[in-house]
Amino acid sequence: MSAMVLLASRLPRLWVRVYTLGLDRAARAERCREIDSDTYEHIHDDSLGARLAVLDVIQSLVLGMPDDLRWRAHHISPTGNLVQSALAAAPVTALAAGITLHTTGNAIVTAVAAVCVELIVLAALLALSYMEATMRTTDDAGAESRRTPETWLTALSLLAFPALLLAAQTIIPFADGDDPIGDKAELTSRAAEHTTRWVAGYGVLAIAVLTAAFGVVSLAAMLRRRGAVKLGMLAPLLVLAGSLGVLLGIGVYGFAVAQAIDAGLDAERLIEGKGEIGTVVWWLGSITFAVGLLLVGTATWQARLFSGWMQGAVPAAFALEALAIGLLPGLGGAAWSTLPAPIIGFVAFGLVAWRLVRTPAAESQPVGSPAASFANG
Amino acid sequence: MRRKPGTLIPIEIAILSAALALLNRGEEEFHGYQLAREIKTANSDRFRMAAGTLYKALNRMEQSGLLSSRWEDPSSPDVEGRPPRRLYRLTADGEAAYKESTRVATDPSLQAGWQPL
Repeated sequence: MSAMVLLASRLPRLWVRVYTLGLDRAARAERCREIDSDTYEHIHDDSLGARLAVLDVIQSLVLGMPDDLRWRAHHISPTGNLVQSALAAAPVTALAAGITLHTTGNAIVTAVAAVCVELIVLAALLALSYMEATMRTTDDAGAESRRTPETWLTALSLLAFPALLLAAQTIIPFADGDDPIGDKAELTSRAAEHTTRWVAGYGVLAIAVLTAAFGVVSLAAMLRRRGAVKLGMLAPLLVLAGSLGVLLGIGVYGFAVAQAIDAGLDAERLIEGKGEIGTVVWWLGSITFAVGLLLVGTATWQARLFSGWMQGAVPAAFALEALAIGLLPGLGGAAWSTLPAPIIGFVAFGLVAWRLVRTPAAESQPVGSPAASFANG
Repeated sequence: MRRKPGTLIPIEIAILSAALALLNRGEEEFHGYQLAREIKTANSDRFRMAAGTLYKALNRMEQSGLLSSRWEDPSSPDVEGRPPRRLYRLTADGEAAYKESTRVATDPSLQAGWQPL
């Protein structure tokens, strides 16, 4: 099978897994199986040549997308409620549009528009991850022993965040001294000297924020179903708002400074002006994110994710992580928090990830159900 | 646009027509891609039904009782080396609905808008 045929056969399979995110598991599995079978038959249709099969598969995929979205909307709102239908289709549409713009349009749009595209993709991913984590389940009988891909994905995202944070802190060429961003002249010269490292470091930081937001929002949704109703609602909203702020800060501060250096502009003045705006947005975002994190930690206690002394230790670790993130360099914080933030993150998120993977039971139990508690330890 | 209950839309007529053609050739059960190919052939290769459109319509038609479906047994020797197919079958209701729709289409007196004197 040629590479083109292989790629064409993957596209419908990828798309069906995107537009069925957050739907009833049984319906999702059935739709995926059906499209997988259709794609296989299509690719192996002897009456079409390989090249024609590729074009045919892509044409069939693209022309069917509006109906796929309508199918999704109908599945979520069988009564045809316009608002519910629009909400059901919006995240998938935004994700598809955002990725298309990201791959094709970022080269020709302005930096601000590019950041907006990233934000659209982030918002769509978060909305989908939230829907996925709170999806309705029809086959509850098998839920007790099932470790879903979402559980693994949430656990991996939580673990990836501190690792990426550590990588970003290592890559970004901060100024020496106790106040890594306080000395603007020193910082500008470091950024000018290591522009690639500067951009790469902030890129990794942006990915870390996206990963953390994905993991924490999914976790919050799971905890909400396990009993942490109020905190489970508020925490992901704060984390989402905080992530948007941090990403905007990275865009305005990190990437705009690099662009100015590339263009030979006075980066020091930019840091003083535009950079200040970025820092403020970033600082507000980080604080909001940290508060969201604190609430998620409390939600683990409320949902009885752990028992015994761990029940209090994990929220405490989350609180420390929230504090460390709030004091990270770049936010007016101190250099000492560079290492503790990833390390505490490893401990706090690692414990939760371990718990999720080890005991995925009762994920589909309704809130308030006795089986929803983890009191068994 | 909402349609009148009990009426078929063009895509459903095309699907039922293709299903009937397959049935007449001895294919009592058929999978989605086979149906799409049949519709394409019936339209002299000019019309290709998109996967999303087809499966959305099949889903709806099964819920209305015009078609029924079953999944192939994955352990069956026929399935070896390929994903199991979802096999559809034309129901008696589906056949009757198709015949009724063609009768209405060919009889001007039964078409919408006609009022008896």
